[in-house]
Amino acid sequence: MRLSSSQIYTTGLRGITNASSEVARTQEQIASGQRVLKPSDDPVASTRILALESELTSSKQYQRNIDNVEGRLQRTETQIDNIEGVIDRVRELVIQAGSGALTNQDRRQITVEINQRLEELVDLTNARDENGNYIFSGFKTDTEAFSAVGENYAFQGDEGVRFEQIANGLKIASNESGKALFADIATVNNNVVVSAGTNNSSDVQIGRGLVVDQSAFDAVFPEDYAIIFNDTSNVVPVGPNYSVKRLSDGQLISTNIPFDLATPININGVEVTLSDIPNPTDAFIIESTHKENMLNTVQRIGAGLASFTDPTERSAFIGDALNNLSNIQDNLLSGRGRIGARLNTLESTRASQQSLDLISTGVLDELRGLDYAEAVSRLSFQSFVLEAAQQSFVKVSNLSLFNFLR
Amino acid sequence: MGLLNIGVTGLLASQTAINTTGHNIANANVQGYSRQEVVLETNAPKFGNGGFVGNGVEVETIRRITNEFITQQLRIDTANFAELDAFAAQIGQLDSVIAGANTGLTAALDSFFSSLQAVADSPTSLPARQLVLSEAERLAQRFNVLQAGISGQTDSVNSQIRSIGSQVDELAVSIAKLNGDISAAQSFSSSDQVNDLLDRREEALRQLSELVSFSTSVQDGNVINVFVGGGQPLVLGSNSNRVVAIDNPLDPNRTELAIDVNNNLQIVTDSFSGGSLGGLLRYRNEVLDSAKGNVGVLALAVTDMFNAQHRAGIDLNGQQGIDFFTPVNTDALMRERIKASSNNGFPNDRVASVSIDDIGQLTGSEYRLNLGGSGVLNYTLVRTSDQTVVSSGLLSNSFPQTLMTDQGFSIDLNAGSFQNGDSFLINPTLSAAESMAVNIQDAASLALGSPIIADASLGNSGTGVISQGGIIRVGEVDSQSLPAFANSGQLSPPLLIRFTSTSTYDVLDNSDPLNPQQLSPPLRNQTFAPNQSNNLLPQDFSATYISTTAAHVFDAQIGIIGSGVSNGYPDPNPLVTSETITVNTVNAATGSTSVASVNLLADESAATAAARINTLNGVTATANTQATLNIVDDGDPGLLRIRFNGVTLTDPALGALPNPLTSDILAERINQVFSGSGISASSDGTLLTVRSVNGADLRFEEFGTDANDRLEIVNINGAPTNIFVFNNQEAVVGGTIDVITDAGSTISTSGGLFTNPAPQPLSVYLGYQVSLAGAPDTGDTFSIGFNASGAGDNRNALALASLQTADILDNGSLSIAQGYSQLVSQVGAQTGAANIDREAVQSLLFQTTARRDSVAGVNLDEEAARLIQFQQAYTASAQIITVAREIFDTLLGAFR
Repeated sequence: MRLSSSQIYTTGLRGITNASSEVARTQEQIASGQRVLKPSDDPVASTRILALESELTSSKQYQRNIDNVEGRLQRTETQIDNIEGVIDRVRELVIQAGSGALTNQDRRQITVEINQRLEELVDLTNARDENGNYIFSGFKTDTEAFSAVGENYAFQGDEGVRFEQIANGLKIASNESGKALFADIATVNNNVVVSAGTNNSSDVQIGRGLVVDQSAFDAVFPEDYAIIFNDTSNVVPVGPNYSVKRLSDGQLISTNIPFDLATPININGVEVTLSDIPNPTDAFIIESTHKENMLNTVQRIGAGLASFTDPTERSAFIGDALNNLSNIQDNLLSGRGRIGARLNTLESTRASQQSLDLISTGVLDELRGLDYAEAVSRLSFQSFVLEAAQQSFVKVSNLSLFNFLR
Repeated sequence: MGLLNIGVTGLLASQTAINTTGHNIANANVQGYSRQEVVLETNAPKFGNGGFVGNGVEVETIRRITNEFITQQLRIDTANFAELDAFAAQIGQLDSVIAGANTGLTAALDSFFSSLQAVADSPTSLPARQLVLSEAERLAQRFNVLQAGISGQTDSVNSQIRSIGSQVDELAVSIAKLNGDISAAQSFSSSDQVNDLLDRREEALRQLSELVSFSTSVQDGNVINVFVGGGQPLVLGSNSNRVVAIDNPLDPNRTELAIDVNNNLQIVTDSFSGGSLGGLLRYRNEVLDSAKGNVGVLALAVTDMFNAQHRAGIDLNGQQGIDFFTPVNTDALMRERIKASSNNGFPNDRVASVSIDDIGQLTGSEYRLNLGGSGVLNYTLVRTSDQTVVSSGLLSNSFPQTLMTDQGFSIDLNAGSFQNGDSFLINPTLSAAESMAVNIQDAASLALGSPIIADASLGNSGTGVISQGGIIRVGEVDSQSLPAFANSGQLSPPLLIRFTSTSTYDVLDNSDPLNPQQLSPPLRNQTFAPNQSNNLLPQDFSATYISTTAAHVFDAQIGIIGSGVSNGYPDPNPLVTSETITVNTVNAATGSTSVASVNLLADESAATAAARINTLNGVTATANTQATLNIVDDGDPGLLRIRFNGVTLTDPALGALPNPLTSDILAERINQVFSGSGISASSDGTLLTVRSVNGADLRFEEFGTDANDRLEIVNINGAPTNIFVFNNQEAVVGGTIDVITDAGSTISTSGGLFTNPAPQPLSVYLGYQVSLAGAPDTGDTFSIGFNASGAGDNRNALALASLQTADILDNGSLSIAQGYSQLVSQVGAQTGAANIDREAVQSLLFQTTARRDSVAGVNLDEEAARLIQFQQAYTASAQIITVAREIFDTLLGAFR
């Protein structure tokens, strides 16, 4: 076949260009360590690469979440541990107080310690995390879990449980609400929970909420009552006065009773105190319950222990107190059980996340990673081809008849 | 003489041949040059001296060595290669933009979602919140950059088309001129060819084939006419038609090519193919438009779903969440999405806008809205990507009006002189990614909590555990659509769930905790399945409530005891004797409608009627009976005698009775006797209220004999009445039936209970849901209120983070990341294919070029040989002249 001179050059040049672009590509692969540089290099692999990279990012975040939740739960567990210790001590003290050999004077000594322990309990239940958030207040992390109005401790948080994602489709609770742990505890005797009405115009608080006459209260249990303040002109002489309404049917059981800040209000054996004189139409609710929060239980044990003269009454009181304390212990124990189960879940999830990571990284390497041995030998072959092309080009282009036309 | 002449002809011929060889050598590197060859011919012999004597040589012609078929093939291959080369070059850029570590979306999406997971751990931490905002900004910037990259490609394609247009134009002009020159030159000698002009024209045509495919036809043997784009004449003889780049009248951002035929511009862009122009156009139509649309859809999807979810939450200050990103449907964006054609008739006053309704239905394509007809206008909406008519119909004559589509958007024609021949370009995804920006400024405004919180009462004795609850359908939590969240910072109204038995509960308005009220419409006697998780509130958006109308139907009838007094159904007054209740249910999955009905029976109690309505699919019926009575007793002992539902309440055997009889003791008796039957009573000291949560009839009998001792029924099912029962009379109070229809169900009636007056379908949908598990006791209460000061709440953060895997695109089949990786793999595959095609066509082109070169190209060795050959011939011819001269000299010498 006839060849034109320009063909000799273009063919030679094309060979060199192709060879050098392949060398450049291999070199780029070696430099980056990746086989797939652009999606077009391997469209199928590149979507899987994107998915695997996302998976690894999420997994990293899940493992951070696992660490976080673990930290929170361990902190919670430690607090519960400490609280259990205090309750155990209170229980010891109560048992000690039951001894007939003690005088009420000795028992008063015991109540001093119980009251100190109560302070400790208040501190422990109002524990905060490193960011200053109350750990037992549910979602209301900037509200103290328990605060006292008079001698009455009330749970101020909510039932909020914060979940965190620790694996695809797996969420785990990172907190325990103080309501379930410390407030929702069954007691031997019927009890009350008191609260100010949500629509009140004054910020008068209700305190005490103590059943002073158990049999009178048991007779009306489980009715709930509201103390509703009336217009001051309802009584003579004019002054603050209230009515008491039974909430189940709206019946007023007493009306227009003059209010004196110094005297506790007594309704069916329940005594409550108010922090100030409320406005008319303000309401306070006395809700009957067979539960009591841990702090009130301990507080009432402390208050009652040294007040009995009749040994039978005292031993009944101590029996009730011990039952209530063991209810608290049971409740704390089951709370710890829940946390322990979660810690186990975290541990196993972490392990499975890590092994999933290993698999993902392996697949990613296979999809994207470069086989260096292969790439380097490819590079040397390609450079060999390039050199050959260059040398043959020089050789061929030197062949010309004109060289001999002298 | 002859010899000299012969020598001279040889000399001349050799000279020409040497010249031609020199010309070949000189032009060896000229693009498109075809080697030339001198064709020699023996001169006609002369007769004499006993035969024909040779007369030397002459140059017949200078031949241009070429092959028309190879030339043709070369043009075709050049056009093919140029097309694929341009396509591959463009798509290669996109390929590296969408998956680049600094330009792709994946990494930004991943770290954004990670930051949400992190803030879910500590929702009160401002640094963690700030990180979410920064990552969101980075994501928005990624979208901006990606879209800017794609827009940059649009601009670059436009300017390339513009420049190619002018090159085509110039080449057409020069081909036409060469046509003219060639025919002028050939008019001197029709047998000889103007080799060099032909080469130039051939090269011009080859250059044209790099730009665009065309066809040629030869006219009069030496003029070539050129046609592009399916027969549009570009060059005719020595005339060319101008090619002009203009803006698309619908879309100024789209450059089109038009041919100027007799001062009439015709857009012929779509008929161009091949060449780099064809490659650019194919890239624009097949890749760029859809990539632009797809990225736009992704941006809209991210924006819309985050906005909706974020609005469903509350921030650190207890405020409802605002839009996370700049919202999708702002006035400016809505107007930007529709553009009137510059060809629309005057006046230029039409105001229209396009709003995005359903991200899942968006296709990413552009659309064309065409109006036509006189008087009443009709419209057609064409999807540009596949030229399908997606919607058409008649417009009404008044504006504004809205055209709904099933493509994820709707068109508002607001005002203006819409007229026959109008067309509009609709680009639903326009600038969605470019204008994406984070709308929240302040880290505290990140709405990570949920607005509602549920709380179990401490007085509960059952084991019911209530969930914290949440918003059912995000995107509707604003004052327009959900009254529950109309007032910032509170739930309107707060709710109280009160269990009326272990398996029924009322949902009450807890605005006044001292006196919870029935909701309007009520949600009472709802069924609860103990020991499993129950949704407590209506779940269906379109759930409606229909009720029998209180006292008017199941009214109390009065009569002598034993006379068969009924509960008032059928209504004694009107004509109704029985009633048929029909329920139509549309199956959401299949679209089929099922119809079922029941007949209510005469004197049926609300309880049994509701039970039978409950056998129909798609509705839930509950019944309720309530009567309030005033007890009038003048104090004459023993004269007020009351029987209720067959039980003598005043029977002394049940215990001592006070005198006068009080509502308290009656309530106590009823609760004692009917305990567990769903009938309960309460007294507020004067009035006795008796309720059946099953809707059982309440039969009151008074069999005393003193008209001053009586029962006064003052209220039936919430409606005041005044019925006295005394002296051996009885009254029966019937109940009401509440029917709640599921989504897709409608209820109709033949008339009677439910049409007196006509039933009002009232929405019972609240927009949020809580679930309750365990076994609550009768009287247990749970409250649902606004989540005030719930700073540690992370429910909405989790919901936002879970959007990572939410299937939102493509009618709910793809998540954002999947949608993006689909785009990446699509572009990657197209790029890969384009590169392979390009290689293949390149080697074809190379072969054809080689064939052309081997025929027409200059070989210098060959020319060198020729040079020697012709030089020797020249020398020889010169020698002939010498010989002739010597012969002549010899002759002259003979005479000396």
